[in-house]
Amino acid sequence: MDVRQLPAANHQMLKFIVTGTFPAFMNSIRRIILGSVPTIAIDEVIMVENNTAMFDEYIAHRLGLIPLNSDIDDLNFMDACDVCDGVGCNSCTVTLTLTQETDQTSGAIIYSRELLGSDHRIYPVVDEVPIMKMDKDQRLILEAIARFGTGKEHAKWQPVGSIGYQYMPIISIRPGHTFTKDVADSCPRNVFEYDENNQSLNLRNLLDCNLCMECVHSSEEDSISVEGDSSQIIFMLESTGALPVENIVTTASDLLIDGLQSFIEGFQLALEKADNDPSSMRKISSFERIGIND
Amino acid sequence: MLIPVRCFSCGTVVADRFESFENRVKEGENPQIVLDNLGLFKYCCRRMLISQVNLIDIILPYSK
Repeated sequence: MDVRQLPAANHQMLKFIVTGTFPAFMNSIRRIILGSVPTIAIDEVIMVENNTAMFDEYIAHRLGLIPLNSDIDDLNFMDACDVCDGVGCNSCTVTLTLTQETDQTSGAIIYSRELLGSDHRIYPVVDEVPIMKMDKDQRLILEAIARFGTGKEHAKWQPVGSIGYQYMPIISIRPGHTFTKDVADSCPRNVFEYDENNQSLNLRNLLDCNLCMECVHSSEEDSISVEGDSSQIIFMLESTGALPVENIVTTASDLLIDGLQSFIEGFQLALEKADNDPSSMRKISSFERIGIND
Repeated sequence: MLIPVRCFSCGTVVADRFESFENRVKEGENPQIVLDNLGLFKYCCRRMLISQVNLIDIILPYSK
């Protein structure tokens, strides 16, 4: 398996080509990134005072969606915390506070940068998110409890915004065939370059092709063919900023290895059990036979 | 109401870019170019900013 990184639009995006793979494998990585790579997000909000125009729940929901820097490894999962048994303590939760008051003369906008964490390493990665707008003489005082979680529980813990993969486009143009400029213009991704002199098409940005087949439909039959090669996959993801984008992929790969490791152990245990006690296997097979007959 | 923190469809944080988008469009810039500059390339995120109406200003004085 060969992996090549491609240029991406910004540092929060990652794009790479994997050759010698298959879609199910890349999809398992995609799904682990979405569901199992842990990040930190605000999970509980204690409202001390709120006389702004919006309800407590609305503000709490907005707070939850703000990505917090999660690039630390010494905070426990709350469910698996051995210090407090899942109740919540300093080794599994972080408290952020927000205090804002407006006077009689002017209003204000509260931004995410005003959230102050009890641990200086945990802070909102985007400063400019408006949490609430306040009018004159209003007050918002709250304490927010953030913890590690995964996307399986709530989408706010997903480390990525958009994530996906596509097959490698294989475009073949019949040699010597003449094309009109319309064919080149029909491509929404500007994959082709039109050669006026020879009335021919040249490939310019092959990797931009999204297999839409527009060029095939707008040209003569069999003059262009577009296919996707499922053994070469272009994978792209966009981090929310909670984790560095490279770490997301490496963490997901580690989680996949761990999952397979524990599967192998469980499977071998089951095989040993079946050798020692054949009735344990027979129970399962007889159960299946009943299911089919029904 | 207030601009949603994230894009409804893909989950990218968009709220931080709304203020500069609004100001730059008010100054007469082309919204298409502003959105590209702000790094919003997908149409799901672009519609979040384009279709936003700040209704919060109307209900702002009605506090509890």
